[in-house]
Amino acid sequence: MLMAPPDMLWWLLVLVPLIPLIWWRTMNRRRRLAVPWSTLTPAEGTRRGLTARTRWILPSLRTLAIIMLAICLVGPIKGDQYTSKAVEGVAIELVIDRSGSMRAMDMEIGGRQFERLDVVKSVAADFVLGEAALPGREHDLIGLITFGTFADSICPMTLDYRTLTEALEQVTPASGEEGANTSIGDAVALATSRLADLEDRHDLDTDDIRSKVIVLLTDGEDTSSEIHPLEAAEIAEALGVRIYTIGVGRNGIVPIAVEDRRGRTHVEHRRSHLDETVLREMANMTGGAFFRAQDTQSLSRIYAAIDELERAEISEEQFYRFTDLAVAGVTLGTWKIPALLILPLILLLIETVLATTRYRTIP
Amino acid sequence: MIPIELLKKIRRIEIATSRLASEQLAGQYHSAFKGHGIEFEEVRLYQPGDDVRSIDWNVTARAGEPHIKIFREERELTVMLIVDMSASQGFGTNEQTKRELITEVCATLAFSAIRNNDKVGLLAFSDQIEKFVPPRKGTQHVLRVIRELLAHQPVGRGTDIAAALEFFRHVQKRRCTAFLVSDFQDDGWEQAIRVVRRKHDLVAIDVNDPHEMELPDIGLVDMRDAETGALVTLDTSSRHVRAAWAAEMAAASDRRIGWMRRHKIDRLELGTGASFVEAIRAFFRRREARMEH
Repeated sequence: MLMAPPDMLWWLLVLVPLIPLIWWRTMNRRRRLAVPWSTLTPAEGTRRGLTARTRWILPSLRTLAIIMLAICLVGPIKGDQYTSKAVEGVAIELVIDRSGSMRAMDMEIGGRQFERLDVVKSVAADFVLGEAALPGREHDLIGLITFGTFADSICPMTLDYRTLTEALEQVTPASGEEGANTSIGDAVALATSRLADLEDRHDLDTDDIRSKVIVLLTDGEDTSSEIHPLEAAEIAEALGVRIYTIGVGRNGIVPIAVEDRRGRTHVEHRRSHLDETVLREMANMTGGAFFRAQDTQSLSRIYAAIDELERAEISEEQFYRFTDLAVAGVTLGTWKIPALLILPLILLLIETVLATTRYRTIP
Repeated sequence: MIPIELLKKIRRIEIATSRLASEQLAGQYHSAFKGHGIEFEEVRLYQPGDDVRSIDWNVTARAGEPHIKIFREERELTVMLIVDMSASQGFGTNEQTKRELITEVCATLAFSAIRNNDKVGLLAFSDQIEKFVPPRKGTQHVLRVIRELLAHQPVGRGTDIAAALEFFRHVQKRRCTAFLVSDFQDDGWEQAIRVVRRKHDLVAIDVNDPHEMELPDIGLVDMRDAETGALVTLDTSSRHVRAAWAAEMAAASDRRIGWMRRHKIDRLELGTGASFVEAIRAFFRRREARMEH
């Protein structure tokens, strides 16, 4: 859309009268300065020369330049309509338990038993990218932290969900010393710190972050944290981070695939205990919610619920971005239009060059 | 009052041209413009030694004594300078304008005439009669003529040779030598010249400028016709334009020369910037040679 600021239109009044002036000057043959010649009879009806006949080019160029200059002074602006989705995103830190107990095969998909972590991973991926029941995230920063005995930041807060899901895909249940314990408190503290550090990141537009959320997925109780989960929740609350806690799996004896020293896998039955009270307390303290997921369906529902709760607020706003065509170039399709102001300058340059070389006239 | 500047100019022209007339052209003017025919002066008694052929028998019979007729060469000439003062004469690219050249040539001719005790008159014209100074003798009169040549501001811009010659025929009844000084940028003068020629001795002095004949290569030029005021822009850098111009000018000049040659009119061509003395001397010599035949 092209338009002009109305208060600048009077520039036209100043410059446009110059055009007839130019032509009057060139057309006025009687008052023009000329070399007196004794006779011009030989020039009658015969050649005057191509240059002499095309001399109207000079005033034409100047006229064009003035027209363009007038247009530039009026200040044409190109208004690009933008429907701004002034989106306020949510920063979500997925905190996923990968302790040994996540290997427990008590999740059911289509009648078959699957490892807890695999199910968690696939549902988390759906949560991020969107799937039938889940709309997916669009403008939210999502990061990934896993923890066993130690909490690790696997993927920093990012909008690049592909990288995130790739990282998520590579999460495996920890074994040995790493998988022996569950450090919920440390993981939450790390997640909180990551969320709190968001403001310092320069590569992201952190002004639009509406809320900061931790989604904690665990199947056990805190066993080895340096920071107690409730302490971590307190920190989170102080920093304005909501924690949604999801307890995965059944309490009691669950089958776990264990790999022995020779590399063979066999199923053992172990006790699994979920510290529900702490998780619920953490959620309550920070204004989040606690969910209990015992199968894929419920996990999916939980994500849907979180999704609902933390949907980014989309305020649609229409606005125009104006480009001053006189000074700023514009790309129109594949054509790059240079700044309008350059054209009259080029025209005047051409005119000057021609007037002083080929079309130099005596006197 | 004559302005001091003009006096200086007149003086300068007088010094230069009177010297030319008395030294370089001395005698030649006399020979070139001898009296035309002889004039009867008186009848007197025959004295021994007189040519018997000159005896006037009628008077002798009446008087009873032999008388002879005495003739005298008609020497007292009248020279009329018919000068074109149209605007085109203000043109000049070679040190002087055509008008300046004309002034010098006319002054030289006038001084030559005065030295021969001839009368000099001036008829200046453009597309109208600008000035008429009746023929008279004396250096003072020549100076007057020079002053008019130098200082007269022509009223008209164009050229009308025929009208000037018509006027000339009416004011100059007696036979005279007329110098028609012009650049002949006019049409229809041929008939007028033929009429004048029946009675007078007419010499056409054709004044031009080298750059009239051929345009200089100076790029685009806004040119204004000095006489009509028309404006034309010419690309003098174009070889075609220059060639067309030169051809047109040469054709006009050739037409003029051819016509004058056919009608046996004395013609002298002078260009600005060149010394006219040699040209005049050569012209006088040519004329003298023809007179002797």
